[in-house]
Amino acid sequence: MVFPAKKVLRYIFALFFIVSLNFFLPRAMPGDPVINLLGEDFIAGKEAVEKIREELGLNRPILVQYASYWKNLLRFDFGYSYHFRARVSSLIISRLKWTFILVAPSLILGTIIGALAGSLAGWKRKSKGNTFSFLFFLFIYCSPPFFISLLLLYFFGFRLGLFPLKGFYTTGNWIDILKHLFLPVLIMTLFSASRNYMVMRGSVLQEKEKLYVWYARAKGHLEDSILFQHVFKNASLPVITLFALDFGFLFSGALFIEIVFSLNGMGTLIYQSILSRDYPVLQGTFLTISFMVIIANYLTDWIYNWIDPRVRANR
Amino acid sequence: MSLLTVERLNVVFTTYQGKVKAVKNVSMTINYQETLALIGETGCGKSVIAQSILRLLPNNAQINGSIIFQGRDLLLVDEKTMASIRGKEIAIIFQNPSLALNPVYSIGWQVGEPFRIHQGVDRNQSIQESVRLLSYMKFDKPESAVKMYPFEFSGGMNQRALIASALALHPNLIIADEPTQGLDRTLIKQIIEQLDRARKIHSSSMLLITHDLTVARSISDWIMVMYAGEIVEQVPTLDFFQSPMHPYSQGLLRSLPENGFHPIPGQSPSMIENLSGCQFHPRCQWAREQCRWEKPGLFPINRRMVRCFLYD
Amino acid sequence: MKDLIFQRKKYFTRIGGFLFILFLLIAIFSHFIAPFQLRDRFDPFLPPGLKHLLGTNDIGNDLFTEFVYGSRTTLLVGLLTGAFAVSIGVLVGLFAGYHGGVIDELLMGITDVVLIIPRIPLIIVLSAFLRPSVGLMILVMSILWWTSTARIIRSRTMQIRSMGFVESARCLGFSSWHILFYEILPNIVMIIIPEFLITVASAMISEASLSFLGLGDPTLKSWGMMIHHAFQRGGFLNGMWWWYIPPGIGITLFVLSMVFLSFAFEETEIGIGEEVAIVPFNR
Repeated sequence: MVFPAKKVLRYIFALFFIVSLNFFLPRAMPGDPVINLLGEDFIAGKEAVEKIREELGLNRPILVQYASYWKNLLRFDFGYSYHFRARVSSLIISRLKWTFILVAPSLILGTIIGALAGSLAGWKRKSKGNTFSFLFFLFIYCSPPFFISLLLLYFFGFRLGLFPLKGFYTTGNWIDILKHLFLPVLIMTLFSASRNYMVMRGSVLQEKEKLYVWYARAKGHLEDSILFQHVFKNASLPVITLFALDFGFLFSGALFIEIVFSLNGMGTLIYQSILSRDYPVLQGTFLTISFMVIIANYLTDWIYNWIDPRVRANR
Repeated sequence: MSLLTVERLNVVFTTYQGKVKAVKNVSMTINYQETLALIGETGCGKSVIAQSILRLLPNNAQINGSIIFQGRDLLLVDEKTMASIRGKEIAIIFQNPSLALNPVYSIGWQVGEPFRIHQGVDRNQSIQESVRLLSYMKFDKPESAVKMYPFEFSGGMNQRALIASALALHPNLIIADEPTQGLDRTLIKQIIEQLDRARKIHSSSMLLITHDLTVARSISDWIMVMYAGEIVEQVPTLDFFQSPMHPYSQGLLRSLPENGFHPIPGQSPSMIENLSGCQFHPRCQWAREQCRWEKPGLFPINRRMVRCFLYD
Repeated sequence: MKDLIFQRKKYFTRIGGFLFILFLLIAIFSHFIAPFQLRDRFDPFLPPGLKHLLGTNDIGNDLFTEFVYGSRTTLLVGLLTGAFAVSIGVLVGLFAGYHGGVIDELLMGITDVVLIIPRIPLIIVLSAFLRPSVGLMILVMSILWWTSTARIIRSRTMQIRSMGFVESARCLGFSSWHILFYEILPNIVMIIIPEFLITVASAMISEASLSFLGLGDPTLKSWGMMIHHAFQRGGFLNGMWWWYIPPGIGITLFVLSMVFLSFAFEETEIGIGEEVAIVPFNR
């Protein structure tokens, strides 16, 4: 499928900007670039530092450094972590899959639940159930995800002892993994559902007075079938747009949930890197997340294209 | 027996500015296979009558009176029965066809919808039916037209698609709400002819709502003139164009291009404030003291009814 | 029915206003409300009691005092970020919407690029390199948080631009500055205020999140940091709910108050929009 060049150009610009930012940050920040590039766990004598400086190419002209930085990135070389004693790229890859196990089912479930409940709430706003769901999702929507995680973990983990407090996947047993994942996935699902709920509800409220809704009614549709056969598709367009914009935020939310539940994914990796000031890992994770956000944006353009015939025709 | 009898219909909208009395004490009758044209300026309550018949009014509307359609009072039947009448026995053609059609579904999907709703036909078959309906409405390539989307069509084409859909299940009553608004002259003629031809073939009745007198003249049997939510004259079409009796009707005819294009001075009254006496008196050249304070009734004269003291 | 919806909206607005004023007073009069100083030390790990309403932490600081002073940071970061970010957004939106053409393309292109950058991860990287401080947080958040405002203001400006009174002002030869700030700006105030409230809410959540990661300003107490300490220094693992639940509820209620207040500015048109439709925030 072909997209307007403008949009692709913006993605390329965003990527370019983020990579450049990542390149210049350690070199422009206060402190020795060697430390900024290698992390504060790198300890060596003066001579060794100079040797490393030479190896990192910090004495070469900045443009040459910049070019080789790009070259490394294209080979997925994000540097080496002295704190974890591992290559950043392999660290990220090993952690990413746990984050995906948390994020992927939650996003799908959250989108379905949020869109359904939200569209019902916008369509029949008078019912008691909808008032309740509105207040419930509003509460989730207004709370930081890590706080909800702490609350539920305290209640279900501490008080009721239903779920483990620490989330390392020691045994690899499926039941064990599910037990560890249940609460985080629940919270992430609610988190993503609350946002979709709010958007869908607002969107349906806007759509419901449009003329095509009256026309559908005039053709003999009953209320529920108007919602699902006519309004839903139109109202879901803003949800799709928002999904792209939201992806980075949802992903960040997942990081916080991971930290609380000590799941061994990207969030915990970032948390550990912050505590040990492991700059290469922080930069590598930032790049990875940015890249995923751009991909998510591209994919949602695709879905949008597929649903809205007007966009399809304008390409 | 008549197909539709409306009696003492009152519609009031509650708004932030106050209560809007959009329809005041309107009674009317549509006979089998006849066309009644409801004419008047924009905002006089014509469309509200159409929406009341189908019970398609927003929540802030209050309806009173009775609307008897084939022996049933539509204001009393339950919502499910009403839904089974809509689109099947009474079909409406909206003004603004491009907004009435759903932007994200194909024309074929939407035109064939009545078959799916009322006859449980499946999707493919309903699209086959819409090909038939569209070819009937003189679409050049109906097979490809059903795959198009409303935004790819002109207003006139969308209008014809709406007409096609309205005729799908041979309704007894077709309500056409400003079917020609925003179209150019040659297209209006063509669409009106197609509409009338289709009505005759299905032997349906029609309620035509328009502010275009030429359209009303070409296809209607009866004319009902509305002013500020009230009926001011009800008359056979031929008589109306020969000798309009109500001063407002006379004004309407004088404002036609062929009669010199003399607009009626002044503006219609606000529907929120209560104007005493005849609603038209501030703009009427024959207004006398009585008109200011006393509301004229509908006075029968031969086959017509006129709301004016001149004919008392 | 209409009155009922009006009442419901009024209800939301009242709760929001009440909460906001309550927190505002707590933040302003922290000195009078807090029973102790932040540095005062007592017995550690005390549960809530009459002397220490919320108990004490691992090094014996009074947690109620921390809670009271913590409201200041949240409020400061929220309001200042909101003010700066919305100002940038309004300016960008006004210029893009009013001038159109190349300027519009360029400004909206920048907006789209900024919109794509994942905000929290970027701030994490920046704060890790630099010494965390409130000023840095406000600055970086302002630079990243203006995009949704810019988009909304732009589309409204385009609508208003084509209206009669703006057209006539242009014909009369008023400068575009005059038209932008005297003709158009007053007409979009009702959109700017809810945008501001929502941005404040978003900034408050982000501040709490960063502080939770330990990237908050070490010289100031904040609610997020209380939760961070509770999580880091054993409050959570020892089941001391009074350490982290009050600040968490504080954040949630503060954000709720902003969202409730923004309901008051929802557009009301006859028939539609009498119901609150929430603008998504904190992306």
